Amino acid sequence: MGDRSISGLKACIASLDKIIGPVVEKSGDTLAREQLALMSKYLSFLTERLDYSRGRERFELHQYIVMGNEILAILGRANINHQELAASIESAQTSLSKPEAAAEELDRVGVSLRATISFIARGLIQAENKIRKEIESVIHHRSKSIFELRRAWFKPLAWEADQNAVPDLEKLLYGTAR
Amino acid sequence: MVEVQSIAGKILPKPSLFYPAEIENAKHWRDAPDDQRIEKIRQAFPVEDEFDLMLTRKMKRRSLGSYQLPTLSEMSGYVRSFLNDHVKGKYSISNEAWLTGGASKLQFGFTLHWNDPGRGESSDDVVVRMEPAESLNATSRRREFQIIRAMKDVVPVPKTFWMDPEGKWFPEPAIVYGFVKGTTKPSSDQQRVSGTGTKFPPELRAILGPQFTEHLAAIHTFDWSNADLSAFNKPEVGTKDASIWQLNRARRVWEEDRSEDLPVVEYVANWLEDNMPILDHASVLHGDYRSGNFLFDEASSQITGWLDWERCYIGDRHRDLAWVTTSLFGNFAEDGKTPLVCGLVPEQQFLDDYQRISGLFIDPKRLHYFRVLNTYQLVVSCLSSTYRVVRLGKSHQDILLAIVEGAVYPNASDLLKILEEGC
Repeated sequence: MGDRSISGLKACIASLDKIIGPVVEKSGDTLAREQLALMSKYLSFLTERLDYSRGRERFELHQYIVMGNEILAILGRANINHQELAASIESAQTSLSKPEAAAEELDRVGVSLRATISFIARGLIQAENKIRKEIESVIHHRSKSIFELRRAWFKPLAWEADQNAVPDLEKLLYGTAR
Repeated sequence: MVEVQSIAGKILPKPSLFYPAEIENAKHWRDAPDDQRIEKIRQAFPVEDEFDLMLTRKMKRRSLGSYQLPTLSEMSGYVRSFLNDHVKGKYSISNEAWLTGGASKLQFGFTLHWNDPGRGESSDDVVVRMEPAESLNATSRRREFQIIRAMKDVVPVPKTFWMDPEGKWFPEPAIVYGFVKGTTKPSSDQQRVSGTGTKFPPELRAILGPQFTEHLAAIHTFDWSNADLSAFNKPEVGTKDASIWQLNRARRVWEEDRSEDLPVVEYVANWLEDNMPILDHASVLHGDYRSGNFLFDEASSQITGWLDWERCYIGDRHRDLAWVTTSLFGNFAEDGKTPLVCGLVPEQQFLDDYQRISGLFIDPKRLHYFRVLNTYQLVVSCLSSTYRVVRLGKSHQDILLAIVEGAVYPNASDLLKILEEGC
């Protein structure tokens, strides 16, 4: 059976907008009216994004693996053997290489890798200045593509003053608009 | 906890406290924190006394279950119970209704017919501003009440009536103040969520813009030394206390609420600790000074009230100035390229006018520091607190907070840009 989630979501939106909305409008309940519009907006957002969920997960995990490897290399040059980071990267790489890896598996290895890098980052305030600067630079620059992707992901919620400046999700995920 | 190993005698320092985020489908300790963890986080990140109380209260009540919005009749009952103990003589109430506006607090309006000791028989449109079980910001109604009262002759604010800071009469802490007539946006505008990005036409900007600047200057030059602000810690000029409390509050919230680890947040927190400015003048700060948080009369274009003082504190004026100039709150003039702070005034004009009116110097280095701090705080609260509230169903605005997650990443991208630009 094909996945009909998007059709179901569209039916929910139509029901909210065309059937429930006019009734709420007449009721004069301003909080309900405001929340109805927000529900419709959020469901529309999900409808637009559901197909890309897996691609987003894999894209982000790849970015964190790159970030982790670059940090590991900096630590290696400073003769610091960070086994926990190496293990987190390896688990993440193994999961990412499996096309059949379930969303929960990708989430688990991603959470572990992000936590390991974050732990290192928090401790850097007391670290040797050269190592600190190098690692922070990696975190800074490698985070850019992750934030670009998330800006693209949330574009339908229209948070940015210049919507034209928000990157295209398909271009980021697949290199071109589908 | 992550272990760090070393060869050749070199080790990487470990942070004294770090509780990693959990996977989405797991049981999270943050959903039901125990006293020991609450206390460890408290000790690690000292904040102002009143914020300490509010954040601790939030954590201790987190496992109490999801939030149920009171019905109108239940709310009317709380109001009557409260008024029975605060109004002398007979009174009646009418026009009870929930009000919209804001992303975090409940607002309930009614008309109070009573015998005001100062005015005699009166009818007042009144608002109860009350916490949900948990919200985007764990803030203090006592502080909000005190500062609005202190500001009554400084800028337009609601008339303060009473407060219930412990939630003795209402189900949660609340203040009772006067309803202010006005609108947050021109009737033609389709703004983004929570009043951000409001578009004001040029003729309206010409009248609102100067008021916007003048009011901020008035707040920052207000002599608070004789005001009753007992719920505020007062930082000493020549210290870093005010900034330390602010940074620690965000760090504490991140530790208490987050759903995912974000390495950038850690490195920026370290940058903020390293670059903290020394306070040169202690001002009252609004804390959320922007379009969406003032009301104006559409006919006269006069600002009728400044609202949402919950993030108010005493500290460095550059914090408010940097907040006002956050890109999330602004938009562009008709030429499509001139950025307008809060949709009202070109940035340089705003800063120049502020200096001229207030007589207070704007230090670019401090302004840069607080741009980083503010953006960091936005990322922290919009990513961590919104998630926790929505996950646990803790507020009447969960759907709005779910949408607020989309505001994290423009801010996170801005954060990197601001750091690159320097001052």
